Amino acid sequence: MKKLYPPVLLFNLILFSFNVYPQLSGDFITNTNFYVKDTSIGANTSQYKHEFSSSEAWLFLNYEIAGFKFNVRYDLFNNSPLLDPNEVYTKQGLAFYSVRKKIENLDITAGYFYDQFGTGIIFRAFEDRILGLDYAINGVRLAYEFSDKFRIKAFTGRQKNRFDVHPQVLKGVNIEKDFYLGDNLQFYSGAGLINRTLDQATINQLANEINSYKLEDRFVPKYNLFAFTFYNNMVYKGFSWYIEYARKSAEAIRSLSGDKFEFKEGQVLYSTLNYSRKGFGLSLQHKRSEGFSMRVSPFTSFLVGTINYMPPMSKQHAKVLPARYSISAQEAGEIASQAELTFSPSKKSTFMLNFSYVSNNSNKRLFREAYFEYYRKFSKSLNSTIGIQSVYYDKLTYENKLEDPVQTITPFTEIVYKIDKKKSMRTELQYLFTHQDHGDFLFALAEFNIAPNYSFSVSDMINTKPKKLDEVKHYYSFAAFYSLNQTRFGLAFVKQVEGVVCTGGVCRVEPAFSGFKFSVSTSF
Amino acid sequence: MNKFSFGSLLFLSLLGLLACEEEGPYINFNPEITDTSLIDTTYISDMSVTPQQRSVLIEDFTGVRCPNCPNASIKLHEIDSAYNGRLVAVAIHMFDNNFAYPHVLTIDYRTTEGTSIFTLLGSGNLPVGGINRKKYPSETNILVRTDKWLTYFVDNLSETPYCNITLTSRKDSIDTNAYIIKVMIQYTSNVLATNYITLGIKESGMISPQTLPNGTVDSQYIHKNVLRKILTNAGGTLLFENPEENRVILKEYKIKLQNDWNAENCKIFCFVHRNDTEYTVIQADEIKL
Repeated sequence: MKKLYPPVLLFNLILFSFNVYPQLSGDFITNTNFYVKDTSIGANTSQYKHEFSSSEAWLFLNYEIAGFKFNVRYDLFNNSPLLDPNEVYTKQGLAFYSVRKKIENLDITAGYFYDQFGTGIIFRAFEDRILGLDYAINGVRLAYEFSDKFRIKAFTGRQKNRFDVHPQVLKGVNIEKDFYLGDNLQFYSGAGLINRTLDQATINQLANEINSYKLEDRFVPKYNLFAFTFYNNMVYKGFSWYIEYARKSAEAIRSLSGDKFEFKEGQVLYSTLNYSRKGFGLSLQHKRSEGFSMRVSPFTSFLVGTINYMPPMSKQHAKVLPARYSISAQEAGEIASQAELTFSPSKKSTFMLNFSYVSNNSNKRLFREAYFEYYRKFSKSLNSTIGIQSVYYDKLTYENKLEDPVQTITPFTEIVYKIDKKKSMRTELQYLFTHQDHGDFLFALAEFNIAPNYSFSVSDMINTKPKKLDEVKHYYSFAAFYSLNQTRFGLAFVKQVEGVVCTGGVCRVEPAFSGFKFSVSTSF
Repeated sequence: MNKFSFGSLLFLSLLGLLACEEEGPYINFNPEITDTSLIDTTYISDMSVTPQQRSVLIEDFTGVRCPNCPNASIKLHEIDSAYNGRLVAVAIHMFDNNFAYPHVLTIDYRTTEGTSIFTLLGSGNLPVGGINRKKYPSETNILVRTDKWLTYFVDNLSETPYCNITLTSRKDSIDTNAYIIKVMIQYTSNVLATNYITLGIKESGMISPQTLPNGTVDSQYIHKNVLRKILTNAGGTLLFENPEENRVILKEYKIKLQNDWNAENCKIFCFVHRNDTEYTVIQADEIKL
């Protein structure tokens, strides 16, 4: 047993005498990349020429005592391209801190926090480390529960901007109430309101730009943006119907061509209808949006300074080639629909059918996907999935590249075989046919797992009919993972083609990668 | 607490946030006629120039019904006498201010541009003024009381501006009531900032009523340095982003005098400044029309 110093011992005795038991928990993640130059695949950012390696790390600590929760997070970025793929970013320090206390029905948070109203259409503060996003709010948040069916929350603060905050002020209020009409019918209703106030420097910059426009294009920009949302989820037996309508006041937003600001309102109508019973599931989604750009400042672009989150209107894929042409919501507006049918005639087989279609407000097709998947369990040790996907993807809209729309057909299969209680084998085979973009790709993967400690994989993605390269190109990867309790180590050699990377409907274009990736993650 | 209904809370929240009508920034909706005969060009000069001595801009926000405002005018006269040629003073009369409301049947010195500048710099109780549009460390606002003007004015004199301003004026060859103002700005070092230009016309020597500190109205009061018109955007027009050393910017502006302006008493003033997170004036200059 370790020796305890008298003051520490005394302090702990006092805490225990007051019936106060502190708890410390946390997690740690680090990723390090070593760059191996390969100009033939376009892996030629600054890290390949000058820095040769980059690292990111996050240490999150949560300390709880006497009903208080103290959170701190240390972030590190060394020569990192994570926040901007074309940047070499280096900085470290305390990036997140908060104190939270619940006093009866009142929940108080001061410092950084994450939250969302409804589905997030007018407000969502969230973090996504894969894409390098951190939309935490630094401010004060209050939540009060009148009862377990009636609650309100409100906040004011500013959005995190790397190790600082954006100068614009955000505030919002969200009310939710649940109604139970009999045993089978429930309504979960809510409303939210968000206000963003531009700082003087931004409004001056805006006014100066507007004053340089032609007279007929000028308008008086607003300091304040207001957006409200009303939503309701009705649940009746196996049915659930969600509908949300959001509207935002007119403000300066960049025109589609990007050359000037326009004074525009925005609105969104979003609805889902789900039905499920044993062996059968149906989901229908529809969204119509116009000019719904919600940002801390009209001068921010891409993924910087986004206040809200648009629910994805296409299938979220885990497999490499079906995920190659994934999409994110268009701020300027879109009309999107999605339907998904799942049918399991027995425990051993499941069919899944998905169709999604997205057009802009002028009814120009932007995206279309048809997807079919069949899962079959042959025995306790063997199961497989086969499927096919067809995609239409407007490259100009989603990647801002003046190239032809991409049309693909991608058959795929996955086989999982359990050799014994500990060992298993998984293989994937996919082929993407297309006459556009980079051309055809073949993807093959073999993964060998020894539970609970080891996992090895080898894969190759082959540009079999290259359109942009002169020769057939291999993007191979070798990876090994070692897990010990809650700690996981990973080492991989990766060649990755440039393309869109998405998580949960938020996407960005990433350049090609060539090199080693080392990672450690743990929690305590 | 349960007496609060879902609807009433929602209504109160909406009311709280939407209750006020905001006042937007100044946008110029007046038609602008582009005169292609005027010079508007930029280039890098082969010749380096010596930085000019700093001239300091004092914007005096004033009004004809403001009893203490004549003291501000006296303060400007004292500074100008002591530091001849180093002061660019502008007296600005604003709309939406009771002290600037004209006396009955007298000249109205208020301008929309002046009103915008007053809002931009943070407003305040008259008389109040901005010295090179800086927010000084011991101040909470850009605009400060008259008793602090001399101190801050002197502080600015020792600084070297990174651009030189040269103004010239000539009568228009066609319209005898119009003048062509030529501005040449040359940078003496590399600058990592966006610079803006403000150019306007002011007039002195007008005799019209002014409320005095003792509360009486002096009908023979002589007004000085009164802002008549800003020829650029009120908050400044974009001049150049990150200008390099020896960057020269040449611009011409044409101004047509109004009938009640006396050309003999008019001066053109010009200053280069920031207009983003700060409004600091880099250099200022003025010439007789």
